[in-house]
Amino acid sequence: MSCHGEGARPTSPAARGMMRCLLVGAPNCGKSTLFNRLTKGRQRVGNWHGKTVECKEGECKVGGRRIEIVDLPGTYSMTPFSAEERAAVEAVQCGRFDVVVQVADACHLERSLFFTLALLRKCGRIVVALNKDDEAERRGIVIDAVALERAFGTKFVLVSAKDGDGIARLLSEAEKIAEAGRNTPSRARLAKGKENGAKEDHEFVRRALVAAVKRRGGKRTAGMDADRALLNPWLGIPVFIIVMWLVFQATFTLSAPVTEAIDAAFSAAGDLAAGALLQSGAPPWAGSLVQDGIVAGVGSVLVFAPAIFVLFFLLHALEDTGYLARIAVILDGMMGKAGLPGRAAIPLILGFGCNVPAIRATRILEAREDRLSVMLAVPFMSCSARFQVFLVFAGAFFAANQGAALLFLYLLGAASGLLTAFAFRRFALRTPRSELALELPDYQVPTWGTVASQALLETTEFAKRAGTIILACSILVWFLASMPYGVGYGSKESYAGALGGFISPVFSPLGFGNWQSSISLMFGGMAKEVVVGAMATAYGAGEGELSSAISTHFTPLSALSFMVFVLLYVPCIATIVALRRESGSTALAIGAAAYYVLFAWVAAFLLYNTGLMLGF
Amino acid sequence: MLSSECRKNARTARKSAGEPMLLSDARQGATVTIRRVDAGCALCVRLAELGIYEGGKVRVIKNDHGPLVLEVLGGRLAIGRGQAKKIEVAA
Repeated sequence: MSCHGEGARPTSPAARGMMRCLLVGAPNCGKSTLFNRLTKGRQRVGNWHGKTVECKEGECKVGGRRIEIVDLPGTYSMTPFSAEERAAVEAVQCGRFDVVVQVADACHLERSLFFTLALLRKCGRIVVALNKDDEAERRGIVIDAVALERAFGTKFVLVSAKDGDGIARLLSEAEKIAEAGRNTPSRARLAKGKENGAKEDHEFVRRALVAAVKRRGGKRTAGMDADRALLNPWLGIPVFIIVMWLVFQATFTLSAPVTEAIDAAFSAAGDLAAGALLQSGAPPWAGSLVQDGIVAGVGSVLVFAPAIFVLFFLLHALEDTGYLARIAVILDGMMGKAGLPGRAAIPLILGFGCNVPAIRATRILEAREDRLSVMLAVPFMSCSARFQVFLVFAGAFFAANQGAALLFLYLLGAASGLLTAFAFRRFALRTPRSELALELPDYQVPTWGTVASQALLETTEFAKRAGTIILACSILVWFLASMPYGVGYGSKESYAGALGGFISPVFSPLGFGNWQSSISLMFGGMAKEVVVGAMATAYGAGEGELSSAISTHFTPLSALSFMVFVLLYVPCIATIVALRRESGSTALAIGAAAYYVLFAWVAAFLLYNTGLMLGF
Repeated sequence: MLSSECRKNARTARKSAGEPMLLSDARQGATVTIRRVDAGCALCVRLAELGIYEGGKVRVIKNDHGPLVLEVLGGRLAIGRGQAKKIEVAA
């Protein structure tokens, strides 16, 4: 993003026929709800600050004039602490806009007005939207906007983003200020105030509040005292576990029928397309390309979509209720031992369901350092696809104590993940864990429309951006598995088979140096669901015969070693793509993939050779 | 509780030595005035924006284990124990 300095606009917004409006405000002030209300849910994701910080953009029309609206990341202040806050502050300082709308929470006016002061020092084209006006009224807070205007010298508009009250007036005031394009009168006086004179600023705000706010009854909401219970470790952690369990269950059970339907639809569409191609006289490889490469590839992207939608719907709803902020407090001590913030527990736990939405869920962490550490740890969490592999192998070799074997694998995965996050934080980033300083928003009922449209936006973004890369990889795998022309799909004669034979010596020290294992691990890099299927194809085993086939080729020890490798090496191509997408760094994603494979190899090697020494 | 016992001891020890009380030692439910924030410039500004500045008043909602929960500027704020140890308060 280039920066031209404030006031560099060449023409007035009227001359251009459109105006650009930035939304700034603290997290939880209802900024997203207002944005959603203004754009009527039509929005896209734009990038600021290179690729690491995202913000939402949308448009609305008032009287034939286009208004471009940018929803900047939430920030408490003009002295940024995280990359998100920095992006928001720089956007305001750059001045490439016509007007800034500060969204302020009318229920917590004092804090919001402190931010207004800081904002007025940086920029003069401001309208303050006093949001949650309805809620403030319910609590007996009556705000005199005119008195605030007198004190601050800028426009204040009472709005309720939830019901849409005051929106039209907000837009017309914004237009007036954009048209005038000049600083407000008392700004000069404000600018004289000492930059860091926090006490003076707070006194200024308090005086303004005394003049402008009347409290009638001033009842504290009952919900606030829930904190005593929810933040108590003895009650808070069990409640957290129940909430997480519900989110987990809902994400993967509510989405399951849709996921299965998508899966079935794509395999039917694949059959249909391949059949149609063959009938029209196309060569068999074309049918196979369409069926196994393209249609299956698109399908493998879309099967994640329902889970991502449900998960993000629930996460945004939880955030809206105010509970997400409490989780950070409850788990601060526990996660702190691994150098992670309390909220990091959420993506890590979700990883046990599916790593792809879990990596996206790292967005709930504010600092980039935290996000990177957690997203590197997520792929070690054993997802449901890996569970299928474990079931087959544990069933064949550890029938008596299957549960213990599975528990061992899950714990090993979790420990490896936490270790990775800790080490990355400590040795690669070298940043100490930032200490918690977090506003706990009031408990409230979520705005369902906003929650749904945010979840939908996340889902379509995922499908669009991850989709192309996953599709390309899918076609590559198809090519390796079915070329040279005429060989059986995934057979020893195919390129994939040859490659499997070529790399199999690498796995000899781990106890499974045969081409069948290598080829299934290679396909497993695409998606863990196919490990079992690919292995069955390689052994020429039909349905239900795989168990006996692997019993003759594996020992219990090499089977365990194989499971450990499957647990720890690259979860699937979609995870790596998600990692690249969320980190904004291709190098990091490739490096991470290499690290996972190496980590898995070392872990399996240690296990297998220790086992051999112990005489298993 | 052992930890609260310890804190009480620390509180009395500091009081008798004439040392200022720290926010991390403040009683649950007490309203205290911030005396001094002993931290770097960036953290001071940050805390001031969240409502913790010299002369400001905060109410301690929760101070037993892990982060403290304060009532500041009509809203709630959670801060780490390490930070609370850098904040001197007066009852």
